[in-house]
Amino acid sequence: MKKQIWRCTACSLALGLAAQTVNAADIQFRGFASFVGGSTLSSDDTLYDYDDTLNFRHESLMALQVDAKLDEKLKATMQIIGRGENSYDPVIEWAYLTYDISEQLQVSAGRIRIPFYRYSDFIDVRYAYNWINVPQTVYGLEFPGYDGLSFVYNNQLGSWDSTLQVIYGQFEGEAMGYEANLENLSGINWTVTRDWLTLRAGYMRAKATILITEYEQLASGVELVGGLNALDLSVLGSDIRLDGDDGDFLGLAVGIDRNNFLFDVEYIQYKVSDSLLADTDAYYVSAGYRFGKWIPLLTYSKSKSDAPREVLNGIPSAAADILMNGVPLPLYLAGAASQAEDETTLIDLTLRYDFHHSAAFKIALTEEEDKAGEKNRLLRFGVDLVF
Amino acid sequence: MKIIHSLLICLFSAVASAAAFAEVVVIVHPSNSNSFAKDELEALFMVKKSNFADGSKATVYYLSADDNNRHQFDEKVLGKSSSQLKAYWSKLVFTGKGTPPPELGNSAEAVAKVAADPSAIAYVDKAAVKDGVKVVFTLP
Repeated sequence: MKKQIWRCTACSLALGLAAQTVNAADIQFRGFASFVGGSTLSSDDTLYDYDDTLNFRHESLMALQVDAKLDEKLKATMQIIGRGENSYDPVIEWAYLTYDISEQLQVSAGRIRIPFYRYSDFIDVRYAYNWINVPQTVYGLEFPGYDGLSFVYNNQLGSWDSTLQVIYGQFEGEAMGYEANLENLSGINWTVTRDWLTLRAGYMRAKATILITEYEQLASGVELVGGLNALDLSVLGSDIRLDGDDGDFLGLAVGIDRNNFLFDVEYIQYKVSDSLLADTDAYYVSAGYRFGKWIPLLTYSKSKSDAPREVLNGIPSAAADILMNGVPLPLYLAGAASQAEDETTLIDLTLRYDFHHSAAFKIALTEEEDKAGEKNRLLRFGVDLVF
Repeated sequence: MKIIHSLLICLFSAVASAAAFAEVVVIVHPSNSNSFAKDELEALFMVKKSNFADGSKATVYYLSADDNNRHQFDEKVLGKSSSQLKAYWSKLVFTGKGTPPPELGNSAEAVAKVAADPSAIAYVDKAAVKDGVKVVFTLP
């Protein structure tokens, strides 16, 4: 319902903008699209929603951006994205205005992408990077835009180009299939570039509430069993849930593009305190070479989530003998904690071919191996364009 | 025989036109007294800087994406292929951080723009240069 209202507001905004074309000087339409097909290599394999039947929907998308320049300093921007996985239903993912406070300092206000990762800001503009899609082992946190402010400061430090971004706002809506709320979302990231070298560091924090179904059920079960034994286990329940807990995210990246050699590393880690969400860290290393219009790229990536055993410290001694589903509560929770433990390895080989000055063809073979040593292989191909 | 003959002519003229690369120069308005090293041009044409060295505003023009003069300029001055430059601008455009310079259809159009605007700077085919613009850089 909320989404619907947002959409209507956006539509009337668009109509308003269109009606103003008579006197507003400068309105530009730009866009980008990706059409991706893929299937796993065998009937036992599934990966990123793909199975062994060829699918053209999961990762395809098309977006239109409207920029309305009100004067040299003030601009309004809206980006509408239709995703294949949602039948190309248009959703306004970005809607903000930008004001140039000075030549170096810019402020934006509205709905903006959360800059967790190096590629977050243009994650859907896949023409701008070489993979079919960013490595899911690292880019696991998927939140649509937050509502708030973003300050961007650009300057030169000797022969380095420096970009510093500070954000503040909140997110409320659906993320990764769950109802989520990030309050006091604040972050800073800094990117410096010199010739062939790019370095980035970013840190974000928020009070996170995410209604992860499994955790909610587990917490309710624990509280219920406590109640049956005349014990108040709501604190333990809260230690399982993501209910306004402190979340931290750190990201570091290095990019090298020298003499046609491409080398990129990104490392991230995140945790949410007092919850069953596992502390996670992940990285990828990718290396490629630009042969004119062709780029072969090899990527290795790993993500690791530790079992959140701290939750066991919160079990009151009086509750140590309570049975849950026939198992003593500490043992039951230890089981849940070790289920959250995870390790995924990814190997990806991508070939990019720039067949047009605004379009690229890509083909990629991806293999993911889970903690049990189970391997899933996926072949994808697609075209990315910008217009 | 005749076919082979005309094929050969076609082939030779294709080779000849490929060899006759246009010389590309950077032009400004005659009233612009700044000097332009390659680094300065790179900063201006990547819009990392929006002012000339003397502090006055710079209005940069590109040529259209399929213009051969543009390919030479992108590679020799900006050090980027067409698709690398397109990717660079895509990152800025779709994150609201920047807008690429306007593209002009051909060198003659660019010469006319620069002749009419003291803040303008563009790269053009040397053969299109006329009175009313000043050449400040010749591509190696």
